[in-house]
Amino acid sequence: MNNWLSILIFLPIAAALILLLLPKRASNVFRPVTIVISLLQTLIATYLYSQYLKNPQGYHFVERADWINLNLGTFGRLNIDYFLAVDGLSIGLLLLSAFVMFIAAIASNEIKKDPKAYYTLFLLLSAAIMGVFCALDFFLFYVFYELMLLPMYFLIGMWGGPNREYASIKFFLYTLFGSIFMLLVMIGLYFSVIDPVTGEHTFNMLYMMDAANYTKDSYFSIFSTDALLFHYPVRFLGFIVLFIAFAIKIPTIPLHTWLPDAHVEAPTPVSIILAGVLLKIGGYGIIRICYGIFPEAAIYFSYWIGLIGVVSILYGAFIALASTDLKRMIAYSSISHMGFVILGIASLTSEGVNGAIFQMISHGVLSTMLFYLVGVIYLRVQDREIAAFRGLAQPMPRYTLFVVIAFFASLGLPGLSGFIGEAFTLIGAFKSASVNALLPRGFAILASVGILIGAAYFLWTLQRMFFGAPRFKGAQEWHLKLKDLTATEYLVLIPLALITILLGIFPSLLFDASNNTINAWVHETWIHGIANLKSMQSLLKF
Amino acid sequence: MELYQTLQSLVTSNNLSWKFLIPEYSLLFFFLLGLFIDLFFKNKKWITVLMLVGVSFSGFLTFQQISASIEIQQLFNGMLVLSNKIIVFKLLITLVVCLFIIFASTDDRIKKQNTAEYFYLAPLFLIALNMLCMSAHMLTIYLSVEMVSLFSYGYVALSIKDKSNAESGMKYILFGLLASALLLYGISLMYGFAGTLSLQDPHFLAWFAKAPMPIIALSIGLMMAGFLFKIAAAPFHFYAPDVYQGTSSTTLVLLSVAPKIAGYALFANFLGFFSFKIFNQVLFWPMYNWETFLSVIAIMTLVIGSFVALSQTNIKRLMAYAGIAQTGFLLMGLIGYTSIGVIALLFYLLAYLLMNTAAFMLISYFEQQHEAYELADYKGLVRKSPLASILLVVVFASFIGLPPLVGFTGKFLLFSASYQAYVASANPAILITIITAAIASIVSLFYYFIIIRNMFMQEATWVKVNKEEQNILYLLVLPLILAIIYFGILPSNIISYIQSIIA
Repeated sequence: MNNWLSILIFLPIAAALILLLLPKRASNVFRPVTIVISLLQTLIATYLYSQYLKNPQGYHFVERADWINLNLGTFGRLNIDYFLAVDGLSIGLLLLSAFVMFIAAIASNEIKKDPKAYYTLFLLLSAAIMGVFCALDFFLFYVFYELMLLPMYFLIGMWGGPNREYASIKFFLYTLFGSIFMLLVMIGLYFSVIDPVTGEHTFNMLYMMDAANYTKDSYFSIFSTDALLFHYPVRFLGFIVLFIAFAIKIPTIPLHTWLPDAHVEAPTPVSIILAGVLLKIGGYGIIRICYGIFPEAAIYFSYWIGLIGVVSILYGAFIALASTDLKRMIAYSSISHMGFVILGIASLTSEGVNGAIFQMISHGVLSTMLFYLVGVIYLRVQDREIAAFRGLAQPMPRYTLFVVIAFFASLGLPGLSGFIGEAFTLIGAFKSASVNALLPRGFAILASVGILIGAAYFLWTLQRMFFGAPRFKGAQEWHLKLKDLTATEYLVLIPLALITILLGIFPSLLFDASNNTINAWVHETWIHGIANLKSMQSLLKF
Repeated sequence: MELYQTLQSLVTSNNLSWKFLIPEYSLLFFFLLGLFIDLFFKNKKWITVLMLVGVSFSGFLTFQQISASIEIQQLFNGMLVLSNKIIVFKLLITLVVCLFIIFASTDDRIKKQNTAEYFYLAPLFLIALNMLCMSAHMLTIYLSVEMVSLFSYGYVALSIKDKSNAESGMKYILFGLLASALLLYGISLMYGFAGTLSLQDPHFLAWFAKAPMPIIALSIGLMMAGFLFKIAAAPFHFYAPDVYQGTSSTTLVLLSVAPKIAGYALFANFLGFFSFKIFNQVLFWPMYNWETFLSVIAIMTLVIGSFVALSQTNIKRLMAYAGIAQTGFLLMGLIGYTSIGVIALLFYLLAYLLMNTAAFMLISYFEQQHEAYELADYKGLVRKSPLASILLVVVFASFIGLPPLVGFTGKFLLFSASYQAYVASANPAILITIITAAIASIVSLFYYFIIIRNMFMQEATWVKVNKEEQNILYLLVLPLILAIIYFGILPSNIISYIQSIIA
């Protein structure tokens, strides 16, 4: 069977349609169905991952079919393929997404309002996420990318906190702002790229990555002598537009302001999906699309990209230090941790980019755990002010154990997964100065300061909330409410904690899958980027 | 002797031309039949069915006219033209009129007024719209613009219930008169300098080119005023919000779409007379910078439509401004007048037809069911009418251009067409249009989602519920929604078909 990826995408859609047809009375089947579906997806993804490890290079599970095929007379044909495949870059993220969706489905037990609508949207979102990581046709990618927006908007907007309307429309507007301009670049690329086999224009990303496939006088061609827009090379503008679109998703400074709002208002499972999966799409998009299609712009702007990463690390960490709301603190720590991803990518070294992918997966697991842990106390007392709690370790010792694991993993304690990701991105950033001279060493040093601040806010929070004599804002009433973990909560937290430890001890579990692809990717991006840059500089004289 | 030959050729052309108007005759026949029944019979409920049959039948006859060649047929010595492209426009309009008749027959408010003319005027209106699509001579253009306006006024007046409607009807007429006066003045200038009323005259452009530059600009600009009025583009959009607000949603199913499609048909024909096709490349008449002109109009329309829509509090006014913004998108298809542009335009008109019809049907449903007229009245409606609310979300998502809905595919084609036009001409105005359109898409998210937010995320202040559920409405809207999704995911067949017959 060779259409596993389609199954992964369309299984939740089929389930969503079935849920839609069920009567509202059957409210107690919605969650089990969703859990089963996402468990199935996780199992399939695990199977695919194990299959991939047998021969970890190139594209696997390729599916290709004509989707939209129009003859436009003098303009040739409009070819849009249904083109799915995974490589070392996406297979890990695919597995992560399926797993995080599974955890989020279990964590959805707090959703009591409109379960039918909730789980239908949940499954739709799941399908779109799987599609984003599998699509290799730019048009198809865009369709899945946009398909995520509407379910996410409603999930935040209908089941969120008091300020949910503002948060949900802000999320929607930011992402749409990025993606509409991405559409324009996509159209421009389409009309510049020729499928070498058929001679027609194509949306195929793999063809877009090869400079030889561009028609000579097109706007995005490397060999064009007049591809300037406002006296600036069009390819650079295209890169900037795509980078902004994905930087909003990650998010980086200064495009991050939607994230804390969305997280604070979103219910726990939606926060989990947001931090665990959606942010990764930004990092994935930058590696696959921005760097893949415009390697010369990536090299040209690498200093600035690295700077954005460093500023994100520091800024996120400082704001997290100052946050009084636990969930907001974790949201800003996400921004800080995703900054390492950008820094690693910008270094354009094998260590840095491997580390970036590892960091994305590790952060996916850790943020899932962190947001779930916040949800645990919020569910009990409807409060998550750091100052409202003191000495939580006494009434909730087991809960505290998981918090300690999650916090220590996040601040980069060796032996846990966060350490590996951050260490490798930093190694990459350090090495960059001597290997390809893209980033100054100072960036890596500043980023290490970010780790230090990270340790400060996590430990400080731990000390403030969990240690000392118990004293709560809600006094005696809270003492009764703050019971230790339930069975469901164990079910969520134990696998997450195990994965964190496992990845910390055996990082090769992930590196084995990504290493070959990333080594080749780094090599090609560098070679093509330098060649393109030289050609463009001589032709366009900028 | 020469006169005799000229006369003879005129007569021959006329004799050959009659058969191309068969759909219009059948419409006329059904109109007369409806009039007759209305006058002499008490039981008038058959008129609706009869008109639906008549309009569908004319649609069938129009469909039969699709010919194997893409040649333009000259009818009546060039007074009218007919080509496959025009036939597609006519078919789209016929579809609108069909949907309108079906929908109007379910509207209780119309039944109560007992107005059979509401239905038997529809075929006559369709004749006027068809003529507008086919006109190729300054006189026929003026006549058919006036004829369409006349019926539009009539329909606005028919749905008058109170004084506010009378005001909107009046505004419509006054603006319409202004626009047609400008059109007439433009025609007279053009005639004066070109020396011919026929746009197809081989000498027309050569003679017209000798006119002073300001006169050319002025006369084309004045004629454009009439066209822009019909498609509700800036700066001739002022009437739209008032007319929308005062007219019943049922009537708007017809009036918000049909004249617009006909207006675009006329616009496309008109541009055709000012362009040449050389080696698959379309070149505009060098004396007038059509690309910049159309770009400026499109930018103005997009900006005014989108940003004014943001501050509306009434659903119909919002839809009016949103419709103006959509006009701006449609204009993008005409900028380069490329064949892909015309295909994009036709496809987006189909999309617009499906979306707008569905939207007004649902708005009408909310009016009748919950007396929701203002945006604030939509609060919490999802609790009362969940299915209708979800359908409205699909329609609005399609308007915004979210995949995988037909609005996205349409916008994608329009953006592609404009990009091609930009590459071909390197005119920066087109690039600015594209960027403006992208920004307008983002803004459209905001105003459409004011309604969605009210429906889904806010608690109802007070909601009146009329008891009887209108299941028949769902029978009408659901197919439209399915079409919106279907053409969004699989647009290949329909676009290939259109492409195969027009280019």
